[in-house]
Amino acid sequence: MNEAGEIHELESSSLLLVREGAAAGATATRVATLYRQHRDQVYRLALRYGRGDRQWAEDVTQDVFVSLCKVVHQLEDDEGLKGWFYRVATNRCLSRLRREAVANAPAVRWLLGRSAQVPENPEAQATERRDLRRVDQMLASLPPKQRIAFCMYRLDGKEQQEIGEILGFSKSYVCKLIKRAEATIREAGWEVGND
Amino acid sequence: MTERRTFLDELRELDGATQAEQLRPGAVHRIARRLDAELLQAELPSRRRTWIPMLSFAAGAALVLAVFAFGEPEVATERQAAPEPMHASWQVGGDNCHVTRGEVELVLDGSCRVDPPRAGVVIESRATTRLRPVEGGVELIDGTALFEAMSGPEGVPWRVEVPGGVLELFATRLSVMVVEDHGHLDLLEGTMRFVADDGRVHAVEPGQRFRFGADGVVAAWIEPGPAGSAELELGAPTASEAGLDASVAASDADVDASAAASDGSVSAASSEQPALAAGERLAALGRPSTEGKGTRGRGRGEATPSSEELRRVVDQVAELRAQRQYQAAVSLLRDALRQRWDRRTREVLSYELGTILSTQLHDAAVACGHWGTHREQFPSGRYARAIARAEDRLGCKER
Repeated sequence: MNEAGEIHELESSSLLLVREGAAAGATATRVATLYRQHRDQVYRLALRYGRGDRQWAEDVTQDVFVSLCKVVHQLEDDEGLKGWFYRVATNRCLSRLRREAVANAPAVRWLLGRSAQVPENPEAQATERRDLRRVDQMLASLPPKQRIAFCMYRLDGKEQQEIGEILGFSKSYVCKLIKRAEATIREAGWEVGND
Repeated sequence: MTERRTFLDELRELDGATQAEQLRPGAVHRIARRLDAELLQAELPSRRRTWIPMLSFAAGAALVLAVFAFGEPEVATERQAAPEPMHASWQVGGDNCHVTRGEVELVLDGSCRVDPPRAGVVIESRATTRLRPVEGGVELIDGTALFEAMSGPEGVPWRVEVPGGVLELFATRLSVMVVEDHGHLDLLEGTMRFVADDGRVHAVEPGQRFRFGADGVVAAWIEPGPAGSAELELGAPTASEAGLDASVAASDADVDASAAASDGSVSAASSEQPALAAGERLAALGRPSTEGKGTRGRGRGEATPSSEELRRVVDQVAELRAQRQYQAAVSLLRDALRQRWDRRTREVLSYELGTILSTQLHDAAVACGHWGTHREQFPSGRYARAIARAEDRLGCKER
């Protein structure tokens, strides 16, 4: 069974998606549709900030759609929900990264008697190109807010104002985060590029 | 060339590799199930809310049905929920006893015998008496009652709450009178003590009269105590109290001479209030303190029966009355009156006999005859007014 067939079979076995067929309620049908449309978008975004950790990205994806179930009654335009998913997924990632950053702080590790937990990343280990691994490590070394603001600005082409609105920061603070991230990258010997 | 690549170039390449990723099938299924559970959970409150009006309607309908079918269910519920008064387990009896059970009080009217749940405790009342059962005893609110209390389990005394303190009874027999905020007791036998509200403890001996009051003034003396004036300094006694005291004081003196003197004082008192309750008169006569009187009387050569004999008569009459054997009590009193008692004793015994005939046996003809004889023997006796009222009720003049 190929992957598409497997997905179809699993989706058919899901109670959520069975409802989608006929007698399901309007809310369930709507959530199922949005789930089908946006789950990969959310997953990829989470995969980026989770350094390719699939399990981490899947957890974020689940959190985002659970949030959707709670507020779906307040959302009106399904066609324009891409921004909503982007915003929620980004903030979920930021929250997780910040939480992990705190948990991986030396003082906290010492108090909890744990060794440093570096997220296992089989994808990164499989990366053949050494530079990509260096980029990934460089990105991971940035504080979560800087990392996300930098990626939103440089990779997704978001304006600083929009980034501030999504993350709940002021534009000047977003600007500062981006500049600090770029400074750190330069200090590491990289040329940021595309200025 | 490779070394000229910027950080962003490398980052975009890395990010491009992730952009081809799709959620794994297992994850699709797992997240879908989780969302389904979330949706079910979210729907539950709304489902519950849809049942609220239905349940409210059903409850209202049941209430209306209950009102029409069974009537005033709220009242019934209150009755069931309200605790039973303490006196619910108190047995009250007596041929002429009328008892009113209030929320907390027992109001006795007539000749009543009360049996509290505690073994060995009997309360008798022959006048209007208000009692309020309390934990381990009773509060005598108003009236006169005769208490007989045996020793309780582990020596716990029976408690009688009165104005100014508590009577603790140990195998005791006593008469207690309470009028408003004061009263007195006559300890007939046994031991007891009075614990005042201020904590002071007063032991009371048999034969003693003990006066108490809410003002904290207490006094005790052995009958016959200090003549009238000593008692009055603690507060004006009621007419019945005065009558009781006077009856004993009078029996202490020479028969004829003292009788005349006491007649005058007691008549004045009895003109204000009714005479003593039945039984109390006899109890007063039978006190051990009367022994001295009898002894002195016999020392003068009067052939009066002994005080022991008088006490035996008193006890027997009281017992017969408690057993509702009024005819036997009448016979006993008639036999006793044939003996040579002093004037006061004879007057009390005769009045007691007439009371039983009038109020217990309701034998109007015999009672009227007895009252006529009584008035001839004691023309200005202390019970003249009470006897006159009894004759009016019986219609003795028309006979």
